[in-house]
Amino acid sequence: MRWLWNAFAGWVEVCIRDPRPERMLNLCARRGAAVWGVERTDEETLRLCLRLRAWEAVRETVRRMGIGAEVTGVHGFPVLRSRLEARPVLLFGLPVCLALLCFASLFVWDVRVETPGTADARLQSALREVGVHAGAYAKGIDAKAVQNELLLRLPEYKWIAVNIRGSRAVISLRAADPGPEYPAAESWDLIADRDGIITGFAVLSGTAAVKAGDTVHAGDVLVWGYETAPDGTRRPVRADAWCVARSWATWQAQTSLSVNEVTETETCREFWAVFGKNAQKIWPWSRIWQGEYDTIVKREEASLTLAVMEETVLRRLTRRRELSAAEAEAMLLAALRQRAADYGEIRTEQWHTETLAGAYRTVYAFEAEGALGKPSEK
Amino acid sequence: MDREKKHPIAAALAAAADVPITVFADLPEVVLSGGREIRILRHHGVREYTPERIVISGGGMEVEIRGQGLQILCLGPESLAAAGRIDGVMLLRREVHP
Repeated sequence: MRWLWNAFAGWVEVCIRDPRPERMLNLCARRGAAVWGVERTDEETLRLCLRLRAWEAVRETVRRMGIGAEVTGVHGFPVLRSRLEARPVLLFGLPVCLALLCFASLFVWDVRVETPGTADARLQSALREVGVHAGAYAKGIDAKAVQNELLLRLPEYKWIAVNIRGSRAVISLRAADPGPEYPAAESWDLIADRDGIITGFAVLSGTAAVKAGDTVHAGDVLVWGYETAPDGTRRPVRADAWCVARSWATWQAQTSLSVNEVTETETCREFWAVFGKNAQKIWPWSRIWQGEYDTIVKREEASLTLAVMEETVLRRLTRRRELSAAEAEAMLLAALRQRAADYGEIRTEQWHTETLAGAYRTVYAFEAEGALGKPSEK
Repeated sequence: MDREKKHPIAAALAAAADVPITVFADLPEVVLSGGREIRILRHHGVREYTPERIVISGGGMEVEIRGQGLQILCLGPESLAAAGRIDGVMLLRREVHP
């Protein structure tokens, strides 16, 4: 803080040559002028620093006392100001440029779509129509309203976010799910997609081919794809039903006796200054990475062309590790259970793990209860 | 005893209020921070300054600082701060002869 104040007020470096240079120190102390950086270089020479105004106050007295004083340096804002006064174009051009820069930063000059491959013409056109374009007043963009308007105009996106970061508008998008694909046929039957005993059954459309308690095999028709009118004519429909069945299955999975394990051995943070498309490393100056590594990049943008990038590098080491039987069983069982969840809620299960030549094998038998049935392909 | 002779009122006030005499009298106050830095308040000027020796006037006494690489960090109207390797601080009483 003192340094800042001294820089603002201006300060001089003075070299005193006198048989008793302490006289200068006492003179300054008597006049209330603070002195710092006092250094005795030889028997008759003293170097010291004092404020510009204090030096002007004591200079005449120093001359009258016969103390040899020489100003070796003048520093601070007053010096800068006097130098700038000799360059009027720079003096006025610099504030004008700064003011223009501040004014320009109020507007959006770059519109960036974060999700790759979505910079289509419709999106660009919609963005322009809702007021997000180069030259738009940044504070005048209501992000929420723009998001809602874009969602209405572009139904192919399910989520849109507009973030104004300085002079850049960043658009983040998520495409809408295409939805389930049904066969193109006008009608179809509902068939069993696996073996099982039907425990609950209700027809939603079509004609029932089975009832609760029946045993069905994969491919058996559950609901016929037609409905019979009172006059006896058949009308094709898309068969649908609520059908719950108990199913059994025995599966097996196997894995090798050892696995590749990835560990992060070392992390390092690097800082880059980014000017436009050029990046210059700030710190550390050099580092050589070998092998595999991941990087996490965090970017802080100061303006349209200037940014500071923090890069965290995580070095990876892959090593081969022997698997224990318990680990292998837990891993295989988790995968098998995940797949069995497609059959519904698992009621009972049994498993055992055995070691074969160069592999662990887990045999998994289970009983599950869940939805059954899929449209047939006609 | 000597203090009471030179500043009898200040000494009496300081004794009554149970505070240091420097509160009432213009006497130097020396603060030594380890062996690297020293601050002297209410000094009366620098008598001598070399990198090995600084002598500060304090009215009726002098404070002598001995060391190596001594440097005056800041000198104001009332305070002085010096740094360097401080080997010793000595109080020299100035004898007044009638």
